[in-house]
Amino acid sequence: MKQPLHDIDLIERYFHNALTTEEAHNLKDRLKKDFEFQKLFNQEKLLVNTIRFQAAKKDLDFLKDIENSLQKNKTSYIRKHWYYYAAAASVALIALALWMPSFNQKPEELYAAYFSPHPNIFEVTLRGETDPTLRTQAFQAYDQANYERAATLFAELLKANNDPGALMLLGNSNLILNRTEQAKQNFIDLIASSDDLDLHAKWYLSLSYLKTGETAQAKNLLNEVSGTENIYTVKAREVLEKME
Amino acid sequence: MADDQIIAKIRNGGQAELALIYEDYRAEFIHWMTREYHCSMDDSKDIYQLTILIFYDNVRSGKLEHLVSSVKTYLFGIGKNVARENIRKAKRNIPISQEKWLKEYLIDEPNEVPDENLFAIAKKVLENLGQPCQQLVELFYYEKKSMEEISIQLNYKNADTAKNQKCKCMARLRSLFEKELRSTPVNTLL
Repeated sequence: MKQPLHDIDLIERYFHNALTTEEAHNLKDRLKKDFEFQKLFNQEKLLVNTIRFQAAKKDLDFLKDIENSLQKNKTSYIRKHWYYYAAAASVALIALALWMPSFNQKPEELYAAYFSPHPNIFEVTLRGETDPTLRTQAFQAYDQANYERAATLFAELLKANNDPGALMLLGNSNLILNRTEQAKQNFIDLIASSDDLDLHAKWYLSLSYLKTGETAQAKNLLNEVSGTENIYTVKAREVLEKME
Repeated sequence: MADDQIIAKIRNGGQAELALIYEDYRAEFIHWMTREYHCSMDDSKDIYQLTILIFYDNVRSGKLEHLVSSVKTYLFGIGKNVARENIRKAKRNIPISQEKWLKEYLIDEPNEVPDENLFAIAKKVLENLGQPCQQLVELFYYEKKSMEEISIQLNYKNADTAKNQKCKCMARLRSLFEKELRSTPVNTLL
């Protein structure tokens, strides 16, 4: 079927709400009377809706990948959000959870309670790779919680490229492997080189300082992180309160 | 980064920021959903994922440019609507079907449910459309990018070249669809 171009243009503009009142009125009128036009309109609508649906499905799959990645790191995630699980356990623990913030907690305990590995959000679709690149292998190792291998590969990768995502996950790997000084340097380098990840790097650097008991440096960074509305604001304020 | 900066990053394709938002409000949202709407953990996660997709769609389409509250308040507002709509449609609290929900959200006229057979054919031909056509039509119809933006992203000479390419891609898609339709025993008229 060969469709008149002006009809296709008309339908396209309808989908973009770009018709004048008169054009919209005429279109509705033709839909009632002109069977061929109605057929073309319905076909175009189906194709556009399918394009939208398939693209949305890809985004949904991306979110499911993140969800699965969080599930894999369940232990640390539960530790990070321990108060939710405590609340579900018993009324007594709810009371305890509410009471806990008033305690002056040790920095290392705060690190343990608030640290969870930064998810790999930089190289998500890796399944079915038959000939993985160095970059792919590095992120795969991180996803598989093989932090030793991930750290080696990220370090190798960073020799040749400036890759903020790789640097962020190298810092996390080093932190998990108790190479805290190296992790700190990774986050300091990231703050200096990436506008996109600087806030995330500051959060992880503050946790690194907590791990080594350097509370003054941690507080400075936490004050900075909690000073604006962002995804770490609430957690940074909680940590600061617990340090008082 | 402040919330408005995060939104600007997401609008420009920042999936990293979207992923961080997903992780950061996830636990609190799921806890709230199970408590307020008595959803199971799995349903709460499904509703959360739809909530994030709507948030993403609102950012990309320009419906959300500046937050009057916080990202959290905005997300919980969307989540409340999704949960209530699910309960209203189902008349009771039953598991949400993400795919069905997405279809209804994305189509222009919510009361018209697309014919499943035709939808399956359209999906099949779209998968066979190939690149760069697939990406181009997604950028235009789903991400609502202008031809100027598409020409930059896909390295076309200018917006007119991108527009011509899009017309060719859609013509190919229509042709594939009609060919597939002819060879498929579907009696439903379009």
